[in-house]
Amino acid sequence: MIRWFNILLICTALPVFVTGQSLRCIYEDMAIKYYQENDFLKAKAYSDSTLSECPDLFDNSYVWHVRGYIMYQVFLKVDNRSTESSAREESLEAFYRSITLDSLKEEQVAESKRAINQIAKTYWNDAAKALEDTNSFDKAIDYYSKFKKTKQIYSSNQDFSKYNIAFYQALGNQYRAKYNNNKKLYKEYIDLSINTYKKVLEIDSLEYSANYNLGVIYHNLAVDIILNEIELVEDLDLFLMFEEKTIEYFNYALPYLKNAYLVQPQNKQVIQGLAAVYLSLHDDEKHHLYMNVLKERQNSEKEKNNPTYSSWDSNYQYAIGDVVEYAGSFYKAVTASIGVAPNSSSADWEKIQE
Amino acid sequence: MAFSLSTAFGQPNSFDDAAKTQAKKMSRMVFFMMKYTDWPKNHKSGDFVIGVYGDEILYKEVSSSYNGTSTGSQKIKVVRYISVNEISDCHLLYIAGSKSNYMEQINKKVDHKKTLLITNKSGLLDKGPTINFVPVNGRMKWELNLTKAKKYNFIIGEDLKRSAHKTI
Repeated sequence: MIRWFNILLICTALPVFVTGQSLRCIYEDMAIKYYQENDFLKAKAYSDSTLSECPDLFDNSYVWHVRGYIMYQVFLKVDNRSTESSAREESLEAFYRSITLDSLKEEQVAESKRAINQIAKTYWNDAAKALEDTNSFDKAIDYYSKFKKTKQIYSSNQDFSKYNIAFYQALGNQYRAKYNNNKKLYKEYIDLSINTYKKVLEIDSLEYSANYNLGVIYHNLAVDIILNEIELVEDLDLFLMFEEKTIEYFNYALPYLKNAYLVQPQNKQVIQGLAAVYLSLHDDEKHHLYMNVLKERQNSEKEKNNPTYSSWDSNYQYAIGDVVEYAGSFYKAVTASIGVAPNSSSADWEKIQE
Repeated sequence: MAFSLSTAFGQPNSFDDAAKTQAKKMSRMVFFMMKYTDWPKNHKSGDFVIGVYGDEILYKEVSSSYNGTSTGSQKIKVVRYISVNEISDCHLLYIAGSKSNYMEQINKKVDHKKTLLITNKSGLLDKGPTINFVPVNGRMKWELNLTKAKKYNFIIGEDLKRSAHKTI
């Protein structure tokens, strides 16, 4: 950031002040001087004075451009990136004014936009950090909203799809984590989580994680009813009512898990989820179908991790690359051969593993 | 900084315990069958024995939930049968769907005046049980063989009758 600013100063700083202006403003010179000396508080004070004492420069895009950098450094270096700092917003406002006052200065506008993009990134980071605390959801949403507004200044036709997916996914996860911490106290958070994951699916209906997580949530809601209500209920009508609710939840889970399976058919968690839901819906045929798929996946992984090779056969015609087990070791064929024992010829067989 | 997605996969999904969870529900269904059935008077003394044949997970659930508790003045005892030959004197016998091929032998083995047979397979109601669990649109329902119940002096509660999927 400092580097960009310095480059700009060397090329254009002082002449810009006088160009088109009837008088020089000593405060702005001082603001630039202190900025270059990394004394950002003094730079800010002189920048403030420029705006209050030199009215002719109030509509000067370069003055706001410089102020944008000064306030950004105040935010970074003086306020230590504090989320409470007002300097960041002042910096953004200054860059925005600079761009709107004179959109024809291409280099200056490009530098301002780069700086705006940097500010946007700080809002994104703050949103992510706020989400680490399950008591800061409002802050996270606020920072994310500021991130989007800032990004739109950077580029008005910005596509937020990937950002929305990442943010809503993380927000949904954290709502769910809060609910899981205390399901009675925080019961409203599971609905928030569901609605947030659904926002992801509005953007991409086949987004894997949102589908999988919704499948898990609905499945778990049904399971919770079985464990906490059905297991204890004494009245048959209540039992039937609770059972009905579990069926509803299991049926809700199904399409999401099916979507997740479409996207990641190899994922064992999803296959297991489908098998579990079908078991819960007493659909034995489909339960067994997915259990068999799961076993196949597990066997295939096992095979991949611990491949089994047949023993060497003296009557078999081996081709280059064939692997056999012989006397407790594994050998790979270097040549095509028949009847050549693997341990008898290193020209024909390469020992690959004890 | 990237948003952490670790929690998405770090949270419990309960899929591993699906069979156990379902067994808890089935166990409660067995409980309701017991609760809403009145046994002939001469079988209302001594231990109340619940036998489970062919479903180990369900046996464990029924056992952990009801073994040692009481129904009326009778203490509940839950036993597991590994083979038909082991099946002996009990008040309620649950037969897993996988063991329904043995119905003929089981019918010969049990004392129908005392033992309420509960099965779990479609099409089995007229093959010996008084109660048969059947899946209907994802729900586990029950069918009642009231003819058999009446023949052996079991009184099936109105609640069970009202909610039954089918009666014969």
